[in-house]
Amino acid sequence: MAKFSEIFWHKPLLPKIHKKRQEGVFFTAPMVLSMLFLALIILCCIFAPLISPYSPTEQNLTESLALPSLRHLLGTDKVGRDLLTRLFYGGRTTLLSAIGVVAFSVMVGVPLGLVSGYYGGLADAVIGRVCDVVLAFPSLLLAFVLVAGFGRGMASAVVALGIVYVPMLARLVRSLTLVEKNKTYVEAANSIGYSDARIMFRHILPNCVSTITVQITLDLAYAILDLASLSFLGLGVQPPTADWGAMLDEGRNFLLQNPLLALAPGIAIIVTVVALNIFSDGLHQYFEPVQRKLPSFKKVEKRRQKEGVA
Amino acid sequence: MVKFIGKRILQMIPILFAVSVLIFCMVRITPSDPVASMTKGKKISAETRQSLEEKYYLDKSLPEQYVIWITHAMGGDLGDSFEYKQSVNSLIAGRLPTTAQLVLMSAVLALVIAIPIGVISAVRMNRLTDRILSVLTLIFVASPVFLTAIALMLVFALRLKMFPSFGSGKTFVENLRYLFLPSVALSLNMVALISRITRSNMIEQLNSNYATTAIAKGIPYYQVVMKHCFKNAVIPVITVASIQIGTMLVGAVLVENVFALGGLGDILIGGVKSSDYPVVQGITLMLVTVFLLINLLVDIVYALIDPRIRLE
Amino acid sequence: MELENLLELKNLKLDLMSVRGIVHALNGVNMEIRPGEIHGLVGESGSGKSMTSKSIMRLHNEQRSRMSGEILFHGKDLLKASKKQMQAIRGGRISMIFQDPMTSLNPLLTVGEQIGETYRQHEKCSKAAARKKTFEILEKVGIYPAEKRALQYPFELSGGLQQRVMIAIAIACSPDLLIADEPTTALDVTIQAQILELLKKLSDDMGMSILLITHNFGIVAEICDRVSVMYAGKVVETCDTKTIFRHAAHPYSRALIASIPKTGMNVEYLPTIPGSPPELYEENRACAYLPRCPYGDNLCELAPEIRSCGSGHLAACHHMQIQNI
Repeated sequence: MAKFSEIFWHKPLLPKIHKKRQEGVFFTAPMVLSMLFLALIILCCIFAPLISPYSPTEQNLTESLALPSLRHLLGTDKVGRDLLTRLFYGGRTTLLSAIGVVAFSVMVGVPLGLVSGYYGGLADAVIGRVCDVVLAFPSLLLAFVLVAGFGRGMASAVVALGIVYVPMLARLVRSLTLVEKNKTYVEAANSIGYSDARIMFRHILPNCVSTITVQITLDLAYAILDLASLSFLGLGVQPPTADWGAMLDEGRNFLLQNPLLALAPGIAIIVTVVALNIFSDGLHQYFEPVQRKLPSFKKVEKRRQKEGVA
Repeated sequence: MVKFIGKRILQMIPILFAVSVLIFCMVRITPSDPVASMTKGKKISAETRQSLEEKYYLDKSLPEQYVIWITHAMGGDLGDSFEYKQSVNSLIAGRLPTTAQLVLMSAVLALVIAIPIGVISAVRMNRLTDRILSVLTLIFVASPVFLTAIALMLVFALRLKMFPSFGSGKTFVENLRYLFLPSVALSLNMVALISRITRSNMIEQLNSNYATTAIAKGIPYYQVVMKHCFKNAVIPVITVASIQIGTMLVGAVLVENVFALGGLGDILIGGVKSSDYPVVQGITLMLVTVFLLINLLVDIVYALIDPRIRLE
Repeated sequence: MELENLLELKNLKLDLMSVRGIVHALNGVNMEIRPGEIHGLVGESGSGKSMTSKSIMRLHNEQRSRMSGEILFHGKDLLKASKKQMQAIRGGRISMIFQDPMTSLNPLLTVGEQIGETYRQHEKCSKAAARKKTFEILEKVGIYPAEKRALQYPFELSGGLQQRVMIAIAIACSPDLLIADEPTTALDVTIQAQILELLKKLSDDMGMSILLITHNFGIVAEICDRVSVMYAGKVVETCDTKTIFRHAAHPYSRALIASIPKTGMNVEYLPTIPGSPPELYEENRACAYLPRCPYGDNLCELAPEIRSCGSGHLAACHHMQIQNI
């Protein structure tokens, strides 16, 4: 009988309904770190004129190829321009054009993918074949050919890469649409008599947004790399503006005098791309927690104890 | 099997045709004066101009020019360069060996390094080894190939003077030394990608039902990994790697640029800059063809390894 | 116990790490398997049947799982066995077949290779001897012509044949215990019967015990000698097959048996068990069946221990006497 208190004290008659935590944790440590880095880079680029006392283009031949000092934290290039300042302004060009590339591919690729997946048949076949042809090119090679056609310059580099990125995105959206198309809510929307365009863009698209977002952040990283390659070869941005790729190209001639001239823009690229990669990974795990790494038993139990105390 | 290969080759033809049209149209989308680029802006008489235009078929309409180009190309003649005053064929022939060797060396290097890394990180999933390897691969994925090339050049060629910093040798063996750094630079990017794919494939296979069966049979773990899972995991990796060879062909352009190797990349980029249409068209068409052929080859190898396809 | 047990599970607990937290998949399983018997293990999906079988073989990912209790095989605790010892036991003394033979066979190795490999691993013999043995085993499980079939790949065989190959792999080293995890679920009904017959015959011929996991009482009635019923990670009742159908002691077992459709039954009314099994994220001191149990009361707030209620009949319920007429 003594045990009665124990018995009544403990659990309610019905077990609690376990709350479903379908979405994962957003602010994980890598996620926060990558977002901090990205924010820092973006802010530096936006407020470059406020941060730096130097002009990115004004030449000062007396200070040619200065080594890092308090005056010029990273040193100067051949014509005496402050490297750090140029890095900020270069970042502007790089990030803006990368965003341009992705925006272009989204604006073309997403509608193509939706139409292709939703209507199927002839539209799908035509779009599919066109994608096949574009994908027959190794990606940057097509960009070379397009730049040859459009003429050199940042705008044509952006459009060229945008075109190169379209088929992958279109295929992704197509496969997502194929899945969504057969769900009941589309049937319902159909039965109400909504137009196809409305169903595609207002009903199907929002359900694909999470996957597309993950892909976009990743594409942004690739765009930065590919744009840098084009500029490095002299096919992208034209002087006196420089993005990180063009700066690398200039800097490599002075590897022995001041290797930072080449390495600093390179490191800027790596940091940005790594941060974007981690961010994209984090987003993916947030949307699909099954992918998450599992913690050890010790960690979970410690956390539980803490929660119990608190 | 023969039927399968035949079908694949037939599928390639329309794609190649479309590719050639696309290349031709893209290159000529902006009207510029090719004769000017031939003569480097010098003034020439109307007669010379006419004879140049006739020589390069520039007096014909665009569709006619295309037909001339593609029929010659099918016969193995890619036309004459505007700038170099020699045939594109001989230009390619002079430079292809360097590029081909570079890509080959990098591909071998990449596979030899990447697959073990992928397998090890899969087996040690989420442990320290795996974490370190995944951070490293992430950095190499993020590093543009020309940056890796420059960094390697700075350390091993300029500072340590272990390898030549530019140029290429005459023979294959001589080139092994000249092309070592370039091929390492070119392969690191691919190492990162392939090892990541190997890792995720391997993890999938290790979690598969047949791996459980093998463990339940009492087979030692390393044997389960190597004998049962490895083959299943690596077959798709080879497919991905073959697609990456396309990326490597382009990466080679960048690396050749850094190390001044004088490969195909130089003349391709030169051609893009100076509107040397025949060179751009010819090299692009060749590279795309090579790329598609490699994909075909890999499909065939795939079929040979996998009994499910082989026996169908 | 009057008979020596081949395998004895004592208070076996298993925790698994999942995305949503720790799952207490097994909450103290007690079970005994006697030499030569076919022991059925039944329960709803998610009750921990497969978890139990994987635990016996220690097939869970070591980083993501934690086990406690005892698994006594021939009196020795498998949870304390070394990796090497475990390897010798797996496929040698205890072997296992799975629900889906298609994915459980390696697609890139021939049938013969996969059988021979097991034999060579445990018997350390020459390739030729292994090949001879392979043909012998293939014929034993009713695959003819053995020489031809041995060279085929799994995808060339039908589902029934694939499962026979799985059985061939499992019995290659004449184990003492065969764990069959829903061996017939993925197969056609006619083939199901053949596979069950084969298992029964092998058990009789080789004196091998079989732990047969199923959710189908029909199969239990057909070939099992004894049966254990699982619910929410615990064995709630163990007895011989006849008893379970006539005098099941646990309300859950009774409900399960009542919900089997029988010929001549009033089709309009098929009893079901209301509610669904609990999710096992939190430790629960109460009887797990309490929310669905018509007899539940305050007493059930503390889970009952499994105890004897007749010769060779065990059940875990505070109220079993009331129903055990």
